[in-house]
Amino acid sequence: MRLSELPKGAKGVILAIEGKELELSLLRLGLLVGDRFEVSDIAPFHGPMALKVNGTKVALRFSDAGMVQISRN
Amino acid sequence: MSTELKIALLGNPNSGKSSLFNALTGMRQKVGNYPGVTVDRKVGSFPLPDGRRAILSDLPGTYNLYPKSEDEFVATRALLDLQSPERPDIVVVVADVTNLRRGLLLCSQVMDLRIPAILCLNMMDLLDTESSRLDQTALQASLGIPVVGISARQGTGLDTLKATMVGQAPLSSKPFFTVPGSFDAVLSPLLASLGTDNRYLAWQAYVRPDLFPALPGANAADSAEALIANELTLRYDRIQDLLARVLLAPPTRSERITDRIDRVLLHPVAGYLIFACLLFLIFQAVFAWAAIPMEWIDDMFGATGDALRSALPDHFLSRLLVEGVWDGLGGIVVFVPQIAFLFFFISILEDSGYMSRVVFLMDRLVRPFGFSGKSVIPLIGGMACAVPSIMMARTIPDKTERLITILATPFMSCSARIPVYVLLISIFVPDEGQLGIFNMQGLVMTGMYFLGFLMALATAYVIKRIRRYKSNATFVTELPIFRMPRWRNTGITMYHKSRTFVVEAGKVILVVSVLLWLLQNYGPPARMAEISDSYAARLEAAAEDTAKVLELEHARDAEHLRASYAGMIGRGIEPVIRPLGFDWKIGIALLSSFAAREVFVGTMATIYSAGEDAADDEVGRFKQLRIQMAAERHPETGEPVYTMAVAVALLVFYAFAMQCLSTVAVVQRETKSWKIALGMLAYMTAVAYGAAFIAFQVFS
Repeated sequence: MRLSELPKGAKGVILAIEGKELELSLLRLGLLVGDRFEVSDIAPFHGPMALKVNGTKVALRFSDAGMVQISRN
Repeated sequence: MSTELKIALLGNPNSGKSSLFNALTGMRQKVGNYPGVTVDRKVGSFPLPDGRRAILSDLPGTYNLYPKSEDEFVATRALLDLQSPERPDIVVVVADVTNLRRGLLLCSQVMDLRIPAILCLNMMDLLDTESSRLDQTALQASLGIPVVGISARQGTGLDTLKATMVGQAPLSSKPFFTVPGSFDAVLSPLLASLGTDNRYLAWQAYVRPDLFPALPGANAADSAEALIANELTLRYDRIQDLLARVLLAPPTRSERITDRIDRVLLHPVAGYLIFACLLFLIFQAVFAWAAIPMEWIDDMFGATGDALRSALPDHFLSRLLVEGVWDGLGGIVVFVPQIAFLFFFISILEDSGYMSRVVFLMDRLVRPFGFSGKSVIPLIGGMACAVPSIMMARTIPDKTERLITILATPFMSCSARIPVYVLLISIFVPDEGQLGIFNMQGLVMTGMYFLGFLMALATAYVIKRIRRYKSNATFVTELPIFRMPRWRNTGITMYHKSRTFVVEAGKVILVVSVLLWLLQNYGPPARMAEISDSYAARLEAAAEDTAKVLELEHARDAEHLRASYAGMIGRGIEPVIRPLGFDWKIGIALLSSFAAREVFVGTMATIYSAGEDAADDEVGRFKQLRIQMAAERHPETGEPVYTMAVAVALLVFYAFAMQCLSTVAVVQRETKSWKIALGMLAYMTAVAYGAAFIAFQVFS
């Protein structure tokens, strides 16, 4: 399942990140494969998504969210 | 023993690094630029307990030592360049205790470079009020470097930090990240040419050769991105283990408050409404409130100018000083209130954490034009002044999105266009004109802002199409927790930005105003003397009649201007601007406002000699100029010069033309390309010319 499919408020675990550029960008902000997150906000019309991970909030574009594989829980 | 200790503050963005810097140095700091780049360089000093002086530099915020932005690049270079005289003796790594994982990542990289380091845990006050606990002793023992807990906000722990700086900071012996032995072959030549035995430094040169410009012929390893990702993951794994032992419960309270605020500010409807209201408030401040101090400054410069004029002997140099230098200076300083107000708001929005929310809300809306969410801030700032706004575009990570933002921002109606608009609109739109409840002049003014905004969008869109940009760059940004803005920081930002503007833009404007003054006041000597002589007798005859004298003096000045070098140039370009409906007098005003568009009104005032006698009454001076412009007739046809078509063409011209050398200079500095800066100048001039031509043809 992809991160971009999740609604606001959904929780999950990051399973894989496609593309080294995106992986590095997420690593910079401290997001790793295996991290638990919650979708805290989504901007309208497929705008960016905000995730809560380890006490920080990180926003990423919808197109990037489509490259993050997750498992929902 | 040296009497100075060079200390650098390094830390993630939002780790409270700048608060610590201000708390340690107070006002004993100065902001400059790093050589060759435009990143602010903050340096301050304070006394250490052992009597030495600490020279503290605040490195730009960075997430790790693999920089993405120019800011991060500067921070990283400061640590990697072994030869640099700037290389710090000690690095204080500032880490937000509520987000230790990221802070420790940066710290572990610094430790592997074997630079003496102190880990400074900031925001300990948040930790104390909560159920969370941190085993600081265990952390210090595992890392092998001193760990100090502080709260920069409350000013606690600073003395301990200073005392730790004095004690020789010991180095940890074993690396945090061990470069795999399989890379020995590629690393050994790098170790040799770097002149170091530090394998991690050589590793960095291997995966990011761009960080070592002095190193010859290095190309990035093919799989550099994967190697970096691998290194960071390994570091995070170790940090995770470490944190599991020392951090017993992470703090959460501020996060809950932030969530509650975000529920409103990021709301799909309310969020946008609040943003619109904030924008309105900022406009109100920049345009209405700033007008009051601007008037004081204007009056002050006018009064001191007059005082200087009467105090100094009537000599070439004193006129140059008063009319060239002093008036030119006044033209710069008058914009300080607007810039200070703008940065007051921007720094509060930034400091509180709201700016990232704007980026979040706007990214989707502006992307079709090739902008990034982060472009919104420069675009808004462009309504006050494009110069600092273009500098703000630095935070946009994608190169194309950044370039598009830089090129679109100058089309936003900046404050320097206001006087030009006001003058021209008042000529062809009646003051009493109403459309429903709206004042006609106000409506046209609003229209000018829309025109600029639409052209900014169109320009962005065109560049996006030309570069075939897909707007799918990776864009990841942090939404920091909300915090009360630090007023001291805000004050310091306002001061430094205003200062930078006055100094940077001032240099250009000053040189050009002096040059223009010379061109306007000098012409072929014989011709100029002839004019003076022809008026001398008449002036003497009318000596008793003050009104007559003034009138003659104005007529003489106007004729002098026509004969001056500026006048010659104006008449020279007349054929080019004739299709726009402009005559040579407008030509002079166009040329003289080439460096700074706000010069237009002043030049028109000089040309129509509406100045001097009413100079201390701005409204009167303005009104007089308006009446004279409206009364101006073509010498041959007897038709009015300032028809609606000419006024509209001029308005449109000023909406689109660059007419601001400071902007050209800042674009060159930011893009490091004269091609882009001059291309932009040519493009904007061409757009302005074309649009003014169309406007003139349509309305006449």
